[in-house]
Amino acid sequence: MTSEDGSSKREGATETRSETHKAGSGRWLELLKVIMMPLVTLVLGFVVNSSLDARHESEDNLRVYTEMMGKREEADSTLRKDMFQSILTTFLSQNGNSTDDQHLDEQILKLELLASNFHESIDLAPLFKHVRQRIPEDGNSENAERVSLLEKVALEVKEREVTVLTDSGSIVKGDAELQDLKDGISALRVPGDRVARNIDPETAKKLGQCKTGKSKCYDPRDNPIKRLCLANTDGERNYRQFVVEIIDHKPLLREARVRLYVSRPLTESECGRADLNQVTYREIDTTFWVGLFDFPMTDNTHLTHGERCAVTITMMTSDLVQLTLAYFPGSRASLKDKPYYDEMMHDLVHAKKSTTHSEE
Amino acid sequence: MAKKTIQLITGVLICLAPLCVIANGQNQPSVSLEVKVDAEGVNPLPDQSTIELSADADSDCGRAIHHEKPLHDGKATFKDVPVCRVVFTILVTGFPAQKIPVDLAEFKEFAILIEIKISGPAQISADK
Repeated sequence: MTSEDGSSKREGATETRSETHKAGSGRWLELLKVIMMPLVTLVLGFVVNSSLDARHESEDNLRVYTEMMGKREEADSTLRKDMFQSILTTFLSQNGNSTDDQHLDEQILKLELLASNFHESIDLAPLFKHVRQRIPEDGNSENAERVSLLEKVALEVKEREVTVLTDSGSIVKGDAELQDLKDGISALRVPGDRVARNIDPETAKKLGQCKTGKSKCYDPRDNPIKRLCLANTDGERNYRQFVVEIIDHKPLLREARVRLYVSRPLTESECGRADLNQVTYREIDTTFWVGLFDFPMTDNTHLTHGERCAVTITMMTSDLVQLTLAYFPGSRASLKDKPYYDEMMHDLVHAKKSTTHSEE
Repeated sequence: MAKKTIQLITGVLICLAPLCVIANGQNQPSVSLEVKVDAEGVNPLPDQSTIELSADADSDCGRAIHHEKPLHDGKATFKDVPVCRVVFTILVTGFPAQKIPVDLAEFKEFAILIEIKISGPAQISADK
């Protein structure tokens, strides 16, 4: 036996061992496949099934919830409709049997009911004004009480509305001396934290140079008519400048004529500037009469980007008027307030842009 | 006969009534008023600038007056305004609203020039 024969036999034995090993592992793999296939199918089936079940359950829950809410809403709407019709019909019909005083008291009660339940749906100002006009100004204590009750109801409704508007918008409360109107215009006194106080570095430099000289300098921060910077926090965060001036008032009707300037949406730094060019950034500059019975949710000013602002009188005496300025999204306005087509388009485009940004 | 006379007198009185009304209205002389508004450091005035002329019923004008006009090139004309004490309200964006009392008797023959300022009272003069 030669050494070559020995080595070939060893190689042959090695090959046989490796073949045997391969065959063994192949069998294991086959076995594993046979066991794993049904196992994987079982697990996958279970996972998919449970996921579908969960989804169905969630959809069912949502459907049941939606149906329940729909039915509740429907029942609520029917109840409100019946209530509204009943109150309004009796409100507008004259009861022949009751005296004037009784009729007035009934009307105030019905108005209170309407105001408590429907202040978001309809503009109640005409009804309030109608009832107020029917109460004689004769110095009678009962009539004075009626006026006071009517104003209290209106004030409560306004406070409720302002609370709702504060959730997603901004409000500022201020007051103005009506005695100042004799000399011209009355400026609104407002909290300092809402007042635009910054000035452009260029303006500051010019002002500094002017103050060193003897000429009279105008510092926009000293203007008695303050610029207010308010933010709307619903959805996109918009800042706008507001200026409110009282230019006239009717003491008997308890109404004030207000001038309202509102800028276009600004950046936070632009909004804080007391020297911002009001003409360039103007969105509205208007005047209107506002009274104790005008409510912010139903009587407000439309702004771009689906936003609204409203000026409300919360108190008026012979020499002082208290005002609330509210800046809020249109979604918080009354139910009768339908959105404009361009506002909806703007919201849709904005929502699409936001989605694209978040995906990126 | 008496009946006919009464009818005749009634007819004459009815015919004369409108003349009496017109004559009564003409007691207060009226003028056509031209007002020019200048705003400190702004030329021309921003668009949507307006001027209002008003007087209460209990003023010496004898009737309530309220006219609102846009300021084109800073100018506005009010026609048939009774010569009495009135108040001009000027609304120009960027300026505080200005209420200026004016006795029109002093400006019957001239246009009125009102200069408004960013701070301080407005100045009024005759634009001769």
